[in-house]
Amino acid sequence: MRPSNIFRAASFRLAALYAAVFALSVAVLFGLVYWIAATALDGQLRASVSQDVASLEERFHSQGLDELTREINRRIQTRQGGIGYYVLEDPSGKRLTGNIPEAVSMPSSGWSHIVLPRDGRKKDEDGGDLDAPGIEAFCVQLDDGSRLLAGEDDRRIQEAREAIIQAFGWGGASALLLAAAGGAVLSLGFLRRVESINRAVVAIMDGNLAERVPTAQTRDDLDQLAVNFNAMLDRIQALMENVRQVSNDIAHDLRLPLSHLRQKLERVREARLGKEDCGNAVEQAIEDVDGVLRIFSAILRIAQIESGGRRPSFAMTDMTRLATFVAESYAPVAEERGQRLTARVDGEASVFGDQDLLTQMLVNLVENALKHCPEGARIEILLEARGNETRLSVCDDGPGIPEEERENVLQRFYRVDRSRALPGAGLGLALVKAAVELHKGSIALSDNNPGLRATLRFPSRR
Amino acid sequence: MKLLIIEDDAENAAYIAQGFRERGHVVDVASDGRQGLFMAGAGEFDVMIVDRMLPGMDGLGVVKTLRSAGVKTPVIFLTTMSGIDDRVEGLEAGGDDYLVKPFAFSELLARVNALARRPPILKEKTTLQVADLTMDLLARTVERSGRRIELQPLEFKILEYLMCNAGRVVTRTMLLEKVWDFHFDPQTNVVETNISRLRAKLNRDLGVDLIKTVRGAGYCLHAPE
Repeated sequence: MRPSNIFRAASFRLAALYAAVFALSVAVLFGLVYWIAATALDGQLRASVSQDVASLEERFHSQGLDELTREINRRIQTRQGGIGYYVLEDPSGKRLTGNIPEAVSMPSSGWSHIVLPRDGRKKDEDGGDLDAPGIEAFCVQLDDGSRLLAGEDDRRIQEAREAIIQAFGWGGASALLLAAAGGAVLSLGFLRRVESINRAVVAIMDGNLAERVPTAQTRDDLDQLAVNFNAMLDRIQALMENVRQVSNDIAHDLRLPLSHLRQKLERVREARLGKEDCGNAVEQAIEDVDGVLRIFSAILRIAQIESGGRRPSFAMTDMTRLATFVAESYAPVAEERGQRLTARVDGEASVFGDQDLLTQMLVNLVENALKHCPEGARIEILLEARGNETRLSVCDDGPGIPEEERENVLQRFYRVDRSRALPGAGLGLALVKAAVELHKGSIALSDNNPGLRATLRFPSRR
Repeated sequence: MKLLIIEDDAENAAYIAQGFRERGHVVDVASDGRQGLFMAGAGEFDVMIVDRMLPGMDGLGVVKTLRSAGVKTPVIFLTTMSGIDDRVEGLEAGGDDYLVKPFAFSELLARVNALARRPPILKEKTTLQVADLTMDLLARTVERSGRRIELQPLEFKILEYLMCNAGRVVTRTMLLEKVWDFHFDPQTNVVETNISRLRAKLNRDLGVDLIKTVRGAGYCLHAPE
């Protein structure tokens, strides 16, 4: 597989899109966390500064300016209980105490951000040093006009912000990397399977109809696709096989009667036949052609039944009537041959199916028995309605079919009698098989001790 | 009798036309659906022979159009043997009969005769009579020369069909379709055997055979000349 295929794969594009959406959501999350954290830290800082200012104001009210100055000095020196930076000016603006360089002018009342100049460090054009510690300061005017400033270093906030940025930087980068790698792996796996399907399709197009798409047993969508694809191929193969079989049948089994016909016609041409003989020969030739046409239409009929196009004509068909009628029609035929045909009908039975085909199935089975049984044979049509199926059997006490031949006789043109002494083309049972399968039923040939029992089973309609 | 053949296969059309002309009928031939439709609308015909597969407009379409325009002329469809559902479709489209190609001319002739002389919906007859043979359709009894003949239900059906078509040739296939409702070709002589049984019952002790076998065509029931 070429790498460029990876980028063409639909799954890769999906993975890339997914990664992009993921990155965007990470960015939004980062922004939110950053903003919330910064606001919270800021709020905390301001709260502690406010508290500090309030306690110092309290001290001023209770003990006066001098005591406040001392308290501030103490805090500056010990850096205990305090918040870091203080400035106290008397009403004239003279500094009483403080630890912020005097170069920094006293801001107006309220919150302000003071940037401390650092030794030996150049300030940038905005007058702020990016790395310089800033002070979040609060300034109040006391009752006597003196001014108090308290502030706290915001380095902690800066550090926290940096930590958040860094964490998200690493996290985001690795997440993106993982997403991209995952997408690539996914699309590679997907591509490999698509590729295997493609290879199978190409092989099939090249004529290897037996090729199948490998299935992964994962029961996912792609696997389901492969399974369905294989089922479709099975069906196509069966249909192709059907077509091939039909053309083979036509080629092989029509050639014989056609060449017989040709020989007969040649004899008519060569021998100087009298008018009557000539007429007879033509009569025979027409019979031969009719025979060929019969085989031809039987093949087509079987092929059409097998292709399954006849189901729309299905309806509930009264099998009792059908079996009785066929028995009545064929009893004289049997009698003429010195055989006996009877019907035993066990209750009412109906089958959901095509009446023409159901009739033909029974007629074919009966005619088969009549044809293969000797004089004196007894043939019985048996109709039984069971709980979930209807059984239609034709039983005889004739020669039967050897067990190993029973499967074969259901195939087209197969005849147990290799000498082909009996008339027929070996299509009767093949048609029955095709038709019963169209009805979702089955045919079974078994020993009737003696003779043959052909049983058709039709499922009851639910 | 005046016939219209709508058939694009010129050879087949000529074969059918010649066959009918030799028997003294007037035949018009249309070689495609539209022409056929036009001719069918313009002239009075006794029977139309319509091929299912036609260029321009297929046979089903032609007959459907004619039927919806109120043309009641009997129609026989010619179909190819590959279409096993053609029969139902043809009858649903308004056809009266169908015949699978290739066919014997005698078969087509018998069917066209049966269609052409079909009485235009008579009052329900309750008895049929041919020579000395009488059939009571209500009591379901048959008498010949005043003597009762016992028939099986199937034999009764065969005789009824023959008597309805008395004087006309009825082919083996027509009997299979109309009496047995078999739309396939059985491999045994089920028709012949049942007819000969019926014949034996009808002719018992009487010299005159009413059911005549027409060689290469079928059977014809008619009064002796």
